[in-house]
Order: sequence, then structure tokens, then C-alpha cells
Amino acid sequence: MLIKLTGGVGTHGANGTAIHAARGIRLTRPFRHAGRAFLGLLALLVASQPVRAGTDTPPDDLIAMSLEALMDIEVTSVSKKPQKHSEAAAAIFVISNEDLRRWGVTSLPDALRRVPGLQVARIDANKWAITARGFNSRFANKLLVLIDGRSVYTPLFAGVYWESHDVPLEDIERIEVIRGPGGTLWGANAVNGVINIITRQAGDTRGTLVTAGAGNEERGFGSVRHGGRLDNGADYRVYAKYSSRDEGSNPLGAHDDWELGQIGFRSDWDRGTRDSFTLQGDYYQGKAGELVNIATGPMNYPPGTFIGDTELSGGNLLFRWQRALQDDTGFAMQAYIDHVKRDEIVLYEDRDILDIDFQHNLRPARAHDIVWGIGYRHIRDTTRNNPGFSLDPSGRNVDLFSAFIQDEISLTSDLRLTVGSKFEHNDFSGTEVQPNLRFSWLVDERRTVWGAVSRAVRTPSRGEHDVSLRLLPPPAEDPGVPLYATGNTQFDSENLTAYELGYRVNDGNRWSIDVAAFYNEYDELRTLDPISMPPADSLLAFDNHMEGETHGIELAARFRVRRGWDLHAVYSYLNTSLHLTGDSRDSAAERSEDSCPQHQAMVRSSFDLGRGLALDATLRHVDDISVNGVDVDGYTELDLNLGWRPRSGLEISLTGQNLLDSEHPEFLPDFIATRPTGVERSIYIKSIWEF
Amino acid sequence: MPGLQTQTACTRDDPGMTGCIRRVTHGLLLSLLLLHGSASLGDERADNEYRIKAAFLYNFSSFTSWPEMALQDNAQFRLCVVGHDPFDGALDSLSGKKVNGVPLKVTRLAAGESMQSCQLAFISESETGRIEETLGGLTGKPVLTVSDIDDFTLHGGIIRLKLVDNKVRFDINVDAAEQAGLKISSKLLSLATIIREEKVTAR
Repeated sequence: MLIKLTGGVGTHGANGTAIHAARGIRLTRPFRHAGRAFLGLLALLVASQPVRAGTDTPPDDLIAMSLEALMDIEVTSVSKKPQKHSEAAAAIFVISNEDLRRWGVTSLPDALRRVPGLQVARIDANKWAITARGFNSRFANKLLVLIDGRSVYTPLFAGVYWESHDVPLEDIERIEVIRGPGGTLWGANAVNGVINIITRQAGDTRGTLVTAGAGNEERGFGSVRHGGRLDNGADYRVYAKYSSRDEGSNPLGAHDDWELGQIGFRSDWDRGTRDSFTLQGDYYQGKAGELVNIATGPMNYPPGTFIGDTELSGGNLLFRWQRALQDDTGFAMQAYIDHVKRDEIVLYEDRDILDIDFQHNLRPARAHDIVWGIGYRHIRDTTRNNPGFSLDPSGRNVDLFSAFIQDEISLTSDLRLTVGSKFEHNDFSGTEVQPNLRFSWLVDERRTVWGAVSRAVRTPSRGEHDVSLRLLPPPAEDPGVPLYATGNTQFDSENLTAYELGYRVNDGNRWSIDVAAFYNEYDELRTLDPISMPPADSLLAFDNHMEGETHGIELAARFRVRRGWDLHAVYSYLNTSLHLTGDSRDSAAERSEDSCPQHQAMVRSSFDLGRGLALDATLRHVDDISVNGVDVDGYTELDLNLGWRPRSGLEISLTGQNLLDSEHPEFLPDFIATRPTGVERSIYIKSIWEF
Repeated sequence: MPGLQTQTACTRDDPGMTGCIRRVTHGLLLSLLLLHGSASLGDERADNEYRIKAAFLYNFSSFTSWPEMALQDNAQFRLCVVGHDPFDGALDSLSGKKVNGVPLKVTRLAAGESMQSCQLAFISESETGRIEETLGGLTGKPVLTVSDIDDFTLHGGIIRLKLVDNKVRFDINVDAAEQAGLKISSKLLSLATIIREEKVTAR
């Protein structure tokens, strides 16, 4: 069932548009005769089949019918529409283009703070720790993020460098956040969740759009976009964007300001009724400041403090071809190349990814909706070794093969069962099998119950296999000799078995509630244990000596007070319990169970004041956490956004974020001892002009 | 005989026919391959949902009165589709038909294009994420808005089409219709589920 929601390569493509049934295909004469012969045969074969009235009635006859008669015709809609979110057998939350505008956010992480079941925390002005259902860290590795079907999960250290992905928010159609294993269709590393960022089709962004804004923290940001239609019928848009953010707060100095410029394009072309093509690409270049403590001498203390600007650059080019076959089946082919370059104080990497996917949707029988696909990914990287960080080998080529098959079976019109599995082969942990079983029961028009049991794996990153990284231990645990984390060629995948249950209900009118509960069992989780002791250098190697359980409840509710005034509430509860196995003594890994807040809650009021004015207020609470044994207090913050549309095509908004405190800390770094900074009160003004 | 009906539809010499043959051929091949003859035929049948909905739109236009101002400047009745057109040509068969004495004309609008000159605007499901934005500029304008988006009437839309037990039903937001200055006939109202907005108790 997940296919209908995917932003990946699929029947519905990254733009979320269904492949339409093939219509009006002209066959040559001989085929027509053959067709008639078949028809005769078919008539005999299927004479017993009931045909519902109105099915083939010409439009004119329908128009001549009375309303009462029309209301009596049975709709034989065989076309599969993108599944409604309210019917999905997964914990899903969707951020629409309108939400992004009304929240007044300027970055993806700030938008994701409003999603149930996600843990979003800022480490400094350009680094974030973002995860779903636990295990948060700057290198949180159990959440997969896709932008128009392109993975931005970094294979070197696992996780996502959020500072490099500044997608123009006005171009986003929607962001689908699916908590829980998305293993069957998305492959490895969608262990705790998947985020699909889906941009608008080029045909939806014609004309010119200019945005500009400035504030005390969001120093300056702006974008220009122009879209139109070419003579051959292809739609296109091109854009350029720039953003700059001020430093966070730290009494010892911060130096974590950030700026990024990005240009890109997207073109969509429908050729005939069957084929649609998309070509899109982006290029970015930017700078992210940091202060890093690094142990350089034969002792760990005192470390040197280094100031630097991480240079970020990268580009990508993606091509997608979708063909519609009859009855909303079809296939899609997608290929992309992605280049990433990152030059920071500790590490340097230069990486190219080539990814090719093919996916086919077929319906061999009425009750079965089958999707299968195959994919290949090649990753080539080059790194530079230094005394604090090295990879062996320093450059590597990695191949990844994957395949999946899934069948959505309609047992009755109200009960759907989804069975599927993904198979993947990677160079580090070999072959991985990730099956899942889901059901959704549409109790009636207003209530849906769903559940799932799935297995997912988080495959080893290149770093866990090949790295030698000098760490700065906490003073209390200083071994007195240099301390290194080293890769382990035997490091294996982390495994999850997840049990999920969900319920959605709405009164069809004023309110809706969406609840999801989960129980996750993990094994083979990552630990770091000594393999050599003083007086030699202290070496810690990655291994799989931890298991654990998490459970939690996530709730999203909406209440319409009246037209023009909506209230939203989101609550997430999470409990993590980790246990070392074997002879591991990695208490730091075990302590990471406290890295996520147990309770998070948010209330939002979305109010139309009339005369084109709209006021959105969001109150957020995040519980206490502890990162690597250091406590970080919980916080409560208020965000306000006042939008004004003096006329169509022009909007001016004034936004205040984190208004209740002059500054508050949210998270601490991991592995690389960058200096964390507090998040400061931020006020900015923004205008959007469309013509 | 049910089989005959399928055949009749497929002998009409229009592009749909060849598609039909193709569907049928595929259906047959699949049937033979999978021994699922009866099951797959059910799937090969044409999709009539939007053809029926097109007929509903025509009826809505016939059972609604526009204020005189709204029609007098136009020598035509403009039916607009906002967003991706799901009708696949079914609307074009309405072109030229008389509505309130003027010929109907179908216009497809891109997202963001103004609907103010339309008499009836069908808002496609592709606009789900931005209904308020789409309807925003229409307050008080005599445009009959219709959509199959779930929350449509709650966002100030006038008529929402829905499927109940595979049959087309519709909700009418009578307050929104009144605000737009449209008069909806009692016959149409009698067949609809009536939606009323909560009145603001402003003092």
C-alpha cells in the first residue's frame, strides 16, 4: 500500500501524480480485426459476467439522465487513486504547501518539528539531530530522507547533513513523513521512518515568483523562480535561492553561521497520454562555520580548538520516465546522479552516486495490486586522511543491488492486506531480507484501523567499516593515551522487528484524530568496545553488542472551531530501553536511550482574521534529554506567524520563533566535538510576490 | 446479454474503441495465463466515475441561479477546471450546451489562475493541499465551486462530490452558497446532504 504515497520512483512518481490509464491508443488495422476476434471469444468466455449499468453509456446519455437516475448508477472506478492518507496502513503525517506557508518556517528541520513521532533538535546554527522514534544524534542513522525520489542519506557516516538541503519551500508540493519501517519499498535504512520531500510539478509553477526576507537570526533569504511552457508542450521552471543564518549562542563564542546558495530546474513533459518525463537538477554551494575541539598531541587534554568554515557543494541530475499501461498499471524508470563535496576541519569527502531504479505495477486479478522493482546504486568516494581522521581505503567503490515485490490484496472492499519484501545486497553486510505484513480495515467512512509487523535493517556505513577517528573522551573517562574509534570489517547490520497499530477517526466535519502505537525490538545495535588498552593507543572498534526495545504512542488531532479557525494538537510519547550484550561495556551507547524526549507536545491555532490576515500560533514543549551523559533541559517555546495578503499574488508575513526565551540549548554533538550553541529568539519578515 | 453490451461499446470507431480492444486483449491474455478469467474482466471495464461526475456538474449548473450581474457580461457560461483535469475529455462533451440560455464553455486553469470569471469551478483533487489559497480570492463572488476533495465544504467550498457505496452523492454548504449570492434550487437541495457553517457569535 505504501506505493501510493511514495515520493520515490513509482507508479505515482515523485510528483505524486497517478499514472493515468492508457486511453486512445491507435492500433493498426490488423490488430483491430484481431481485437474483434478476441472480443467475440471474450463475449463467449465471459457471458456470465454482470456488467453494471452506466459503464459504457456515452456521455450524452448520462447528461440526459435525471439527477435521481444519476445517483443510482454504480461507479465502476477501477482506476487506483493515490491512496487517501486516512486509509493508509502506516503512521503517516503530511505537511502541505499551505502548511509550510502558514507556519512561516524557513528550513526543513523547522517544518519537521511539527510532526508527531519525530525528534528534531538543533545542535548549532547549521547542524541538526533529527530522527523518528528514537536514537537521535547528529548522525542519526535510522531515518531515510528522499527528495523527489533521490536519497540524501549519506553513506559515509549514515544520517543526513541537513545543512546541505535547502529545498525552496515554495516549490514543495508536500512532505510525507512515514514513521515506522518503510523497508519494503524503500530498502535499507528506512528503519524508523521515511521522509519524502516532493516538489511541485513544473506545470504548477508557471509565472514568476520572488521571495525576500530578513531577520535577526535568519539574516537574509530570498529566491527567484520562473516557470513556463515550451513550444513542445514541456513545462519548466528554473530557480535560484540564497539563505544566510546568524550564529547561535555560546558564551565562549559560536562561529556557526551558515550560508547557502542554490540553483536548479525541473521540467515535466507529457508525451501523448501514456508517457511522462521529468528532468530535474540542482546545484548548491555554501559555507557552514564550526568550532571543533580536537586532541592533537600524545595526550587527549588539553585539546586544540579549531575554527573553520565547512565548504559544502554538490549537484544532482534526475531523469524519470513513467509509462501508463491499461487500468492504471504502469511502469517507471528513474535514474539520477548525485555529487557531494564536503570539506571540513575533521573530514573531507568527495562522492558520486549513480542510482537506477525500475518499478512495475500490475494487477493480475481484481483483488491483487502488485508492485515490484529492481534497483542498482553505485557509490564512489574519495576522502583525505589526516591524523585525526582516516578511512582505509581512502577511496572506495560500493555497489548496492536491490529488488522488491509487494502485493496489496483486497480481501473485501473494507479489508486490505499487504505482503511484501525487499531484498538487498550490499558490499558490507551481504544480502538483507526485509519482509512486512500490513492490514488496513476501513470500519466505515470515518474510521480506519491498521496494523503492521515488519522487519527492517540499518546497513553498515562506510565509516563503521573503514574509519579511524580520533575521539575526545569526556575528561572523567580519559584513558591518558590517544583514543580512536576504528572500523570493523565484521560490523553487521542493525536489525529491527516492529509491531504497529493505528486508529484514525473523524466526524466527517469538524474533528479528526490519528493515533499510532508501536513496539520495536532491536538487536545487533552498534557499540564501541576497546580492542587495545594503554600503554598503547586506546582503540575502540565498532561492534554489534546491544539490543533494546522502544515503545511509544503518537497522536495528531485537528479540531475546527469554525471556518477560518482550526486547532491542531500533536503529542508523542517515547520510551527507549537499551541493554548491552556479550562482554560489551559501552555504557555511552547504553546511555543513548536518554537522547530523546519522553514527552513532546504541541498545540497550534490557525486563525483567519479577515481582510487577508492570518495568524498562526504554535506552542511547543519538549521534555528533558541527556546526550552522552550531559543533561539538556526541556523547553517550551512559542512561534507566531502573521501573514497578510493585501491582494492576490502578494503576501507579507512577520514571524517570531522561540519567543519565550532569549536562547535555549537543544542537543549536543556526537563523535566530532563541535561546539554546541543555543537556539536564539528569532524574528523575521518575509514577502512573496507572484506574477 | 451482458457480453453484448461490452461489444457494442467497443465497435464504435473512436479512439476509445482501440483502447478498449487493447484492454480486452490484455484481459483475455491475462485470463488465459492466470486462469482468472472472471476476476480480471471485472478490472478491464471502463472507468465511468468522471463521466458520471461530468453529468452531475451539468445538472448543478441547471439547478442553480446566478445573480444577473454574473451572467450578463458573458455571452457564455464558463465551466472551469482548476488543477489536473480528471475528466479525460468527458467535460468537453458538455461544450456548447445551453446553461441559463448561454452556451457552456470549458476552460482549464493552472493552479493560481483567477477563477473570478468562471460561473462554475471544479477544483481537482490535485489542489488538496491548497484549498484555502485557491478559494481565498472568491469570497462573495458568484462562482459555484465543486470538488471531490474531502474537506471541501469545510474550507468554504459549496458542493462536495463523494462516493457512498460506489454511488455519487453530494454535500452542499448552503451558507457558502448564500455568501456567493447563488440560489440553489430546492430540488438539488433535497438530494444533497446539507452542511451549515457554525455561525460566529459576534456581538
